[in-house]
Amino acid sequence: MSRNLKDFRELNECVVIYTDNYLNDIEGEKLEDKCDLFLKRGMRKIVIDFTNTELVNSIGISILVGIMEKIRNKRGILFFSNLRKVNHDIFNMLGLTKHVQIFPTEEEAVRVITINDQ
Amino acid sequence: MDNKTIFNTCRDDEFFGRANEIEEVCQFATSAMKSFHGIFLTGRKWVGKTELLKRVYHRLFSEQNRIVPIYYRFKDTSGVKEFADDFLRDFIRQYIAFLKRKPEIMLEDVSASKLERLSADMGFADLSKFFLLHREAKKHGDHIAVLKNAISAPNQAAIHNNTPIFLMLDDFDLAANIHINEGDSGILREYMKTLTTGDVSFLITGYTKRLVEGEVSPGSVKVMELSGLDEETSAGLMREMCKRYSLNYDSEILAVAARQLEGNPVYIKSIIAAAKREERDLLTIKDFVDVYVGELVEGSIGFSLSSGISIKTLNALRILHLCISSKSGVREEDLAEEMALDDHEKGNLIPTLRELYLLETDCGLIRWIGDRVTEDYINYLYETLVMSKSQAEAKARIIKERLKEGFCMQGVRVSAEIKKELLQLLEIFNGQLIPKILFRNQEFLTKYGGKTYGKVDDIDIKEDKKISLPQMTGYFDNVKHGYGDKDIPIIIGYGFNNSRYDEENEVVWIVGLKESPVPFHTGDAEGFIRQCNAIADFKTHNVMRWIVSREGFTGDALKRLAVEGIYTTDAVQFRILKNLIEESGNVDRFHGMRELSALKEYEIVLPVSAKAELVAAKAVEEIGVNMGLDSDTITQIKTALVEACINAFEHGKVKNSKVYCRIVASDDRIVLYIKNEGRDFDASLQSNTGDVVKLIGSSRRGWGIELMKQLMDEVRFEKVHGGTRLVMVKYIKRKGEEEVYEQES
Repeated sequence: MSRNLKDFRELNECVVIYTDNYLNDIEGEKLEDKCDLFLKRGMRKIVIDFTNTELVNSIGISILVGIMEKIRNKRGILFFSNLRKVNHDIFNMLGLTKHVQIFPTEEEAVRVITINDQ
Repeated sequence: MDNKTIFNTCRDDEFFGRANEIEEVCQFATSAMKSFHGIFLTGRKWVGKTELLKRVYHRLFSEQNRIVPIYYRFKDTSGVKEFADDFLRDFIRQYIAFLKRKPEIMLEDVSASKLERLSADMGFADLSKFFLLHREAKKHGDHIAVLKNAISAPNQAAIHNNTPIFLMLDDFDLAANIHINEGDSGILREYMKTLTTGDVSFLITGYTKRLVEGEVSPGSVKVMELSGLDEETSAGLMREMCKRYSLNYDSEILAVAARQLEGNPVYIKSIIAAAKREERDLLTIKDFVDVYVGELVEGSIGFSLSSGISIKTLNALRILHLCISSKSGVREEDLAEEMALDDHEKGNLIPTLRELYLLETDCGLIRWIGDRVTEDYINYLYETLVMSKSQAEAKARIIKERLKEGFCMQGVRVSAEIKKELLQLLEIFNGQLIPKILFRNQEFLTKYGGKTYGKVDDIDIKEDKKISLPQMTGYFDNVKHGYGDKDIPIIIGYGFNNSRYDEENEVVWIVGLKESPVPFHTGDAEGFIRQCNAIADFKTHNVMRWIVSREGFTGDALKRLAVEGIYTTDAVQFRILKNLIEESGNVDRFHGMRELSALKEYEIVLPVSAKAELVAAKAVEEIGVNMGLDSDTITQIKTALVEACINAFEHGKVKNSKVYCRIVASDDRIVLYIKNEGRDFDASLQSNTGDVVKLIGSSRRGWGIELMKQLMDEVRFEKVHGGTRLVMVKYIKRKGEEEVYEQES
């Protein structure tokens, strides 16, 4: 999938946010700000798509965990999609996969999240 | 005309090991600035002085046209007139031949009068005066004038014609035998004075350094001592000759021969030529000794020695024999008393033997200074002439002694090589796969028995069962525990199996080396086991014990060692093992599966700035691609490196500090070293595993170490100068490796 010119895509009931190539502290905080923004606007269903993300670092992962906490507190739903195998393994190793559903494609994540009622 | 025919030299493929000396002499001869007048080349008889001078002459004749080379060899003549005739004729011929570039002049046997005419015809009329003066002085019986005219001719010619001359006087010590008046001390002193005060640079040869002592001012003559060829060069010369004569040989036997003959080229060539004549291969010590003694007693060596060493009385033989027997020397008074020498004999015999360069007197002690071959020759003469033994008996005695000595020499040499090679081998133990049979002497003998040490190239080891050697990280002689009289020397090597540096793979090899030419027996086995138990305070359970015994093992010892699981290797196995390891290279863990790749190192210096770690990540990606790694592995390594870099950035508290990354890529692994300029890495960071989500809130950091550990095969912190560095290793596993690799422990 080619990189979106915008780093998010709003649908009726959910928003898909695309991460950068390298999920570090800076990009993580940008991602967190976006999530905060959509949560403030009442969007409760968020898909974070990692198609473009090759590298993550531990600070980026910590920020992701923070985002997961915020969405859970707002009773929202968070899905991940298009994770590379290595990153999937890292998330799995650190226990993130116990708290967030991961889909192989953005479309599948969107399809499931739209029919999902929290 | 080939300039090499001017003076006969030996074949080029029989001339070894003198290149440096020839170069040095040629440089001296042709250099404009000389720090000394001349060179005194000293060395024993037949060590190759004359050959060296002739080769220098040929070089100077053919490779330059500025310095006139003159070579003269003193003959054993006693008359000054004969010497002057001869010298003057040789000098003029060579002088004209060089300047006219006509070497054929030197080959013509021309009389002095003809040479005088030739000089005038060729434009060297000034040389005629030497002939004129020579004739006049002879006519008037003025021997001093005859001598002075001859020996000063090169100097005068050089000045008159402005042509530098390099004068080579071979066997110069024979000048002492040329007398102006009967009973005088010879012309040596006078000649030396002429040489050192003239403008002609020179080289003289002689047997003993004492020749020039007291005759020249200090520093005006450089003494070059020509010793025998070294063992390797001698053996090389013998190998070449054996090949040319189609003689079979054993390299070890040639080495023993080289020692016995002390690298003397004349002896060496005589022995090989005799072996050829007798159609005798040189495969055993007995082969060599038989040929040697034959040459010494009835062959060319004996003939040369008998003509070179003229021993006229039995007392002279007795003196020589006594001095040979006494290694430390004999006091002159004791010698006279024991031999019942009268004053006349004492005053004549010992100086005569000194002049033959067989004895020297030092601080009142008379010592033998001849070579080993001459020693055997004197002993042979003593046995037959003084002790009245038959020639056969005397020969048998020498054969017996030389066999014993040769066997001992061979033993010492082989064992010394094995020990040296063993240490070198341990150093390059690095995960090579080696046929197990090379550590199992009994099996090896059953399968490949009967092979000798020198014939290992014939053995083709085809074994499926292999063991993997450890990667040796260090070894040492077990000097701490010392060796008892019956204990064999032990070397202890530390290393790791599987190229994994953890406790599980730590290994110690205890290697015993039996050096003596006696097989390893049960007593040795018990001693070795006892020694191993005494030093078994290693921190690892992986202790391998290995015996290398040059002469192999007794059957009982093999059984005992097999029960204990001790590896056994004899000299033949050892040689094969060495060849295999050297052929496989010291970094090839899985030989035959892929070509060796050289160790490659990269260094990156990163500033502490945003996303600087991506520069390192990009670099390691390129390296990984070059290594042929899959993208997942590359991403794992990149992620770990990124994590290490940001960890280093965080702890680099020095202003404008930098982070240093070193990446070492080899065939089977990639190793990353990361170091910063600030505080140590926080190696004690809590390693969080499992559900990080539950822990979040307290800190966003702390996952890094665990992340790196999960992504890499090894993560460790090492104390280095100036702090701590993080080392991460990723082993490269390729398909099919595990099936080949078998670790025995």
